[in-house]
Amino acid sequence: MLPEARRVEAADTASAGARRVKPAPWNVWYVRLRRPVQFIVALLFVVLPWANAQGWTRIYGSLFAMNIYGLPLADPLSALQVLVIDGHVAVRLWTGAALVLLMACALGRVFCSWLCPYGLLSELVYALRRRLPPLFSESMTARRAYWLRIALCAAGLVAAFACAFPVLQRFSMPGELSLAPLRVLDGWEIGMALLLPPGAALLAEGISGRRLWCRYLCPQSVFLALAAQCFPGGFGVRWDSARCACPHGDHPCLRACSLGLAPRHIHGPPRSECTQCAQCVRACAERGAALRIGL
Amino acid sequence: MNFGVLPLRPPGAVKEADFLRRCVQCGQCAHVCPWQAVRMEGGIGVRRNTPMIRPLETPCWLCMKCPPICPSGALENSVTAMEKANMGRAVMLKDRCHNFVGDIMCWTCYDRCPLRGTAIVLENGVLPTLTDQCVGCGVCEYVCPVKALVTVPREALSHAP
Repeated sequence: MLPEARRVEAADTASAGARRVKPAPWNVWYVRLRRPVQFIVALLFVVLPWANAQGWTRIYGSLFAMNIYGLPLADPLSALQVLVIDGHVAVRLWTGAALVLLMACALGRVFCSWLCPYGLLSELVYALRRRLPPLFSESMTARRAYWLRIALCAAGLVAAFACAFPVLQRFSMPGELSLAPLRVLDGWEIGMALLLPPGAALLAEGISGRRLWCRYLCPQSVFLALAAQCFPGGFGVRWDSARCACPHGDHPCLRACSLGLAPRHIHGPPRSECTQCAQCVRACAERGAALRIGL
Repeated sequence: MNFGVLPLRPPGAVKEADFLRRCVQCGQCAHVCPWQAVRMEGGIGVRRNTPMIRPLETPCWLCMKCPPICPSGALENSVTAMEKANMGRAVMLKDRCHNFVGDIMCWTCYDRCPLRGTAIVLENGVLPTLTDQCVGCGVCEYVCPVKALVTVPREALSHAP
């Protein structure tokens, strides 16, 4: 056999072998369970005011700060704003914030892709909109987008100090959305509560075809990103270059990422930006399962 | 004096300026309120999503469940006694009150006051009279058939002549 033909044959067997590799079953479940969990969390916040009114108060609060069976959880930015504005160390807020940051450190930004109600809406808008080409290509690198969010968050903290109230709470999509059901009892407020920032942001994302808020603006994601970066070896997307069988220029993993990240690095996509939604892992499963999510 | 400018805060609230600094608008006080008396303020201003009570819609019955659960120190966690709620004070409009006008004997406010006998006493055994023990829960405003009582938030009170 000619050396040329032998090489082609070898490549064929390699790619056929790669195709037979199945992703780990728990990776499959990770992808399958995510969407239902997102809906369940959103539903929880919808029924919470009603359940609380019936006297069931094991879980109460919003994504600004909440209490689950006595366990406090809080947005780190809430605790920090109170500290910056008033110099007051709110112990329970900080306890909750510490738990959230620990989770982000170990698991990455799973909050964004599993729990955040705005993340759910943003992903749904993106999924509907992606049949049409996006308005612009993602020109800013993930690193720059990260620094832009940090800068905006810092500006928000300065503004909060200057205005003497937690200004950044106004720009918390998960907070506003998780409070919205409580506002339904106030009648006319419902329109205001639902339509203001989250509606505007979703509209912009729908028009542009890019997840603008989550990628460039969300101030609440900054501390989760900082915490996630502290532990690069934590839970996340991993890439096995030996299994990567796609021809040059054809990368379904790149197309699958709603945040426009590139997962083909040994340590996966940038840990500060990746929300562990595992869409790239799903896209790769049909090719060579070179991407997996885990430790 | 404009009562409408300052909202009536839940029991145990710190000073209004500090309250705005500390409240993270998490809504936990509104969630645990068994009467749904604690509402989140609307609009887009500084007070958006901060908790308040509208006594005419639902007054605070002083169950004192909200102060201990506030995570940010906007409500003082140590306030658990009804007498310490310190939300404001009720003011009697004597030209409206049945008893003072003199046509009907009505003790609705006295009967329903959570601090009956200390916050509202019956002067001469007949006339309901507010004392300085009143904490401003707004129950009297809610129950009064002729709207003869108005709840004034604590801070508005300090500006009063």
